Amino acid sequence: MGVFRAERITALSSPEGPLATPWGVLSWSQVRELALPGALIAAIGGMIAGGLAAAAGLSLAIVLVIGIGLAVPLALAGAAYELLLATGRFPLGTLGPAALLWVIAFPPIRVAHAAVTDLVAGDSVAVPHGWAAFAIYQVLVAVPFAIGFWWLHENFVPRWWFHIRERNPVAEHFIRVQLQYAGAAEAEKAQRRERARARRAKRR
Amino acid sequence: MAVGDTRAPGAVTLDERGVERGWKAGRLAPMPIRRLPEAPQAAHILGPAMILVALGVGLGETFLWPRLVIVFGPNIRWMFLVGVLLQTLVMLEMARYAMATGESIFFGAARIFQPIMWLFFVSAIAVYIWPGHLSTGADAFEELTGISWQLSACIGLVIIGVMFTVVKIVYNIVEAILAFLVGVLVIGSAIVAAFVGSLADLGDVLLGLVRFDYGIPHAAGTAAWFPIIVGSIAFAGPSGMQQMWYTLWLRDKGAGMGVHMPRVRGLLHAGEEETIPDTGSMFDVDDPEEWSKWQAWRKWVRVDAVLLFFGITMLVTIIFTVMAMHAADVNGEARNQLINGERDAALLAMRDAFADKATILGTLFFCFIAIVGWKASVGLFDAFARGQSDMTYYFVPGAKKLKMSYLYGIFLWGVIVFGIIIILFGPVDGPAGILNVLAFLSTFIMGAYCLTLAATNRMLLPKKLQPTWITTIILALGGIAYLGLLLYSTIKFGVTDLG
Repeated sequence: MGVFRAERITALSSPEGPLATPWGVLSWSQVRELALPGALIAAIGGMIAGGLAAAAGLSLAIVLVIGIGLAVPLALAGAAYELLLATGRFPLGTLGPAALLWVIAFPPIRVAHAAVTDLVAGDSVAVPHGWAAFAIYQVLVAVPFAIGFWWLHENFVPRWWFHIRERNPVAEHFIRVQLQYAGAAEAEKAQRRERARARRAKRR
Repeated sequence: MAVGDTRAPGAVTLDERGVERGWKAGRLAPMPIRRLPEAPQAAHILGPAMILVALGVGLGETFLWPRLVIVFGPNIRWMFLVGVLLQTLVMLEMARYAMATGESIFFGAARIFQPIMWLFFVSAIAVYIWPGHLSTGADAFEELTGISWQLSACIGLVIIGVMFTVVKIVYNIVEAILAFLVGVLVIGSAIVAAFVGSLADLGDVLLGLVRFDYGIPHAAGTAAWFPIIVGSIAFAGPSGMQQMWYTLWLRDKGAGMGVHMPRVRGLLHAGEEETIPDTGSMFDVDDPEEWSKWQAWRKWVRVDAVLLFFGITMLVTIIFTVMAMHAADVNGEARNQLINGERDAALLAMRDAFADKATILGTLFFCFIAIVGWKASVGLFDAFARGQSDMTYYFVPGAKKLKMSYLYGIFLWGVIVFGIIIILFGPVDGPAGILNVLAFLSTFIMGAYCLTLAATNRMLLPKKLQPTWITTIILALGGIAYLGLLLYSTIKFGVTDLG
């Protein structure tokens, strides 16, 4: 798979802002709308947990700890993934970087979450089989979490980028990369076919 | 995103004498030679394996295999690995026929001997008119909310029917819904596993997958367990006719020669239906350019099969098994119910086991069972209507006077109305009874389609497109194994309860 570089677009970028990307400087609102889908997808785990905790009739404190305590840090990591894409540090469309991010971010989130939940519930802070085994296990569980995150990201976020592309230079770039990739792939194929045809003609 | 949006039959090719070129396959009309479309380059343009994952991850993964692990220990999971590996091979071979011809495997069966196709037609009705999968999810929903399972199942059925009636292209909505649900299921399963599993449980499960030396435990050969093991092998990955319907989804996705066949439209958009060719078509396998396109399609479907189908099926099953091991570990009642095989009671006990740790986890577990049931139903009702309408359109005299969308609508609403009647007035012993019959017939169908597939791909495709002999032999052995185990179980133990 080749590497495709889209033209740099600066017309949509702000003169100054909190995040400089290779495709322009983003304002706060542009950063927010770019980070939103990753944050929402990652927060699904915490949101489901919080909603069900409420439905199960647990105390408000526990509901908040279980729901928000998990959703917020997951959302922050999900948003970070989007910004790493935006700054060009992570490539588009591949599972590896998403897995890397979650393998790093997920275990400390879960360790802190388990400890805080125990504290709020008034229990002693402990996990079965010890903290080291617990942390290693969370590293392994982070991989399927990353796969689910990446899956939803690949299937649905490009639609959001398309929606905001006219006011966000990075989204515009992502859409262009996808279109250019398709175009370049077609051209590459056509070239290959042409070369093969020429070789066959030469042999005759 | 569909791979190809252009859905015209496409120009035929002529030989030196100006006669239309064709490929004679079996007893039916020859297939015209048309151009093969380009395969998509990007691996992340996912194929319909995703639908197969959504259907396949169901009862076997969430109940039958976790139960066997509790009874026999994690080392018995080597059988699951063998079952899923065989299903992956079947999937690749189904794709070979569908992408090379644009025809469903049902059409392929008819090309060899039409009664084989009718056998599948009748079996599909016998197995899939029962709303078993939806009622499983609805049961869990009742546990969650207190809303009666009959009410939520009926509402679920009507929602599915309306959805598939109003949409323009049915495949697109099936793909979008299931892509979302599979994503949420994977994330949710990971979260639950993060709460309840342990490194030791995970290690045992992973190691058990490759413990081929473990063999078959003595107790597994008894009347009590042998039929259940047969049913569990059948439920490893997609069961029943799901692999056969995969050929129809590939066609609507526009994979390979499927691009020359029109897609199924919702009933309200029947008027926009394109002309449907009388047969599928074949490409010129001796044209190097066409051959290179074919290789690209095979690569695309391999990514789809291995990464998506095999990878996610294994992932979700491993997580559910770890969860079951944890449940059995902390809750003796869960262990007993799993061993006794009372599925509904066991699911309740597993819920309670998770609730011992935190109430929310029990709720979350049932929520996922509800999603598993509903997502399976979305795919199954579409698949049933799709398969039956395809066979009816091509092989029932006079059916071509109706549009494919009308036939699809008739089968869809027929199965929905029947499902509602059964839910409201059917046997009160509930979903388990339905699923046991389904498990028995699933195994029979799987044996039959393995043998059919071995025959279609060897007898109907040009030599260059045929699979290797090793593949054909594995398919044939797989078919014989499914049928042999089923017959042995029935004759030796006289038991048809496979799960």
